[in-house]
Amino acid sequence: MSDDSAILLTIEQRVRSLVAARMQQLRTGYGAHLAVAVREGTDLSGTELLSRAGLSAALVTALAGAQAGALTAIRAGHRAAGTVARTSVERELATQGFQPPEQDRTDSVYLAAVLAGLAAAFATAILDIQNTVRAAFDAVTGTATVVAAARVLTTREALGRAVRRLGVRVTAAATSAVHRGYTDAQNTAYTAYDNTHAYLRVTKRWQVQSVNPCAYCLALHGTVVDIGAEFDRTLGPTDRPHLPVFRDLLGPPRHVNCRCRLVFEVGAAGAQVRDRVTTAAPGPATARMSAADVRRLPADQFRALLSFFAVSARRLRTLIRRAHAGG
Amino acid sequence: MADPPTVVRFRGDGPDALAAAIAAVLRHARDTKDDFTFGPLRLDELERDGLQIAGPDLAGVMQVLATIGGLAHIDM
Repeated sequence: MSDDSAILLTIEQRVRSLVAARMQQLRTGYGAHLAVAVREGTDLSGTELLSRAGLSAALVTALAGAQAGALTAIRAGHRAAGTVARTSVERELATQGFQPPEQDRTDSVYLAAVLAGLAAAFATAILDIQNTVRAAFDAVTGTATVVAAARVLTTREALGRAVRRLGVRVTAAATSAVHRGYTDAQNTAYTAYDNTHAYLRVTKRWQVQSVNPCAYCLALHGTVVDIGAEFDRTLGPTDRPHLPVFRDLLGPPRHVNCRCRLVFEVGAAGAQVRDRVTTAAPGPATARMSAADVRRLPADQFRALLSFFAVSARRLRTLIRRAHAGG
Repeated sequence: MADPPTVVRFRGDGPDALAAAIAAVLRHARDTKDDFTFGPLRLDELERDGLQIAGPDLAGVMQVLATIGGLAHIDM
């Protein structure tokens, strides 16, 4: 198995930062409209303020923009992770003289489910933002001049809270989509190999990567199933309510922020698949690289990794300089 | 001059310095045959834990990191 963990973390971080930027745009874009409306609407109730046509339209537009941006970032992250997986699987299967078919560019079933959940989160966010802002607006009472200033502050904070709640859901969807993109591409390539080699049996093993895995992943660690099968959804600790599986367990992630991977194994068709392997210890920490790992990276992956840190350094420097100038 | 320590740690005065340091380490790793490991690779973990470099061939990478502004070297 190739260790693509560092590349995946880079992709995940890039998608996270794109999602965060979209959430920031939502907060500042709608926040500007809201501040103007709050200043002008000192004699209105929260409900009257939020039902103003311009303000409602601004929220819908800002949310639509944020949703479109998040969707693009998540889809790109899923595909980028898939490309990384495919590169590794191609290398693994090249030794068998097998070239997997071209990568499918359509959304996988899992990604489609993630994006549908994302659409639902944005739809719910309209009400959540309005209710949170309304409560903050109505909570401030007093003389007109004091009220206007206080309401601008409290509604801005309320908007920030509601956007953060949405951001948590979107980020969870994004990180899951990236890691599942890797799993989906692995599954697709090995399934193609399995389909053309009827005399072989291809199995997949759940591999924990974290040095401090959760109880659910630890229970799955070492489990082997046939390539098209799901892992056991019921494995996990029994002393707490069972963590539900999102959609299916054809492979990681088991949960948000899951760093587990699949290891594919090829054997004779009659071979017994082990039910459970518990002797292997969890793998090494993933967030480190060796110089040899760097030299082994394909040129495009090295460029992507280098570009991420070099561009991040420049952007962060600019942001810090601006923050100091502003302070 | 004494041999460099086996493990060295750097703290940055901001995430920009740490990101620049990782970029420099990546370039150095690609350009040399030095044997070392580095990490973590996430910016939030870098800020929390600092950048750690470990291995027998640290002289070259230490020289590179000395040119990054805002990066402070802490021996472990």
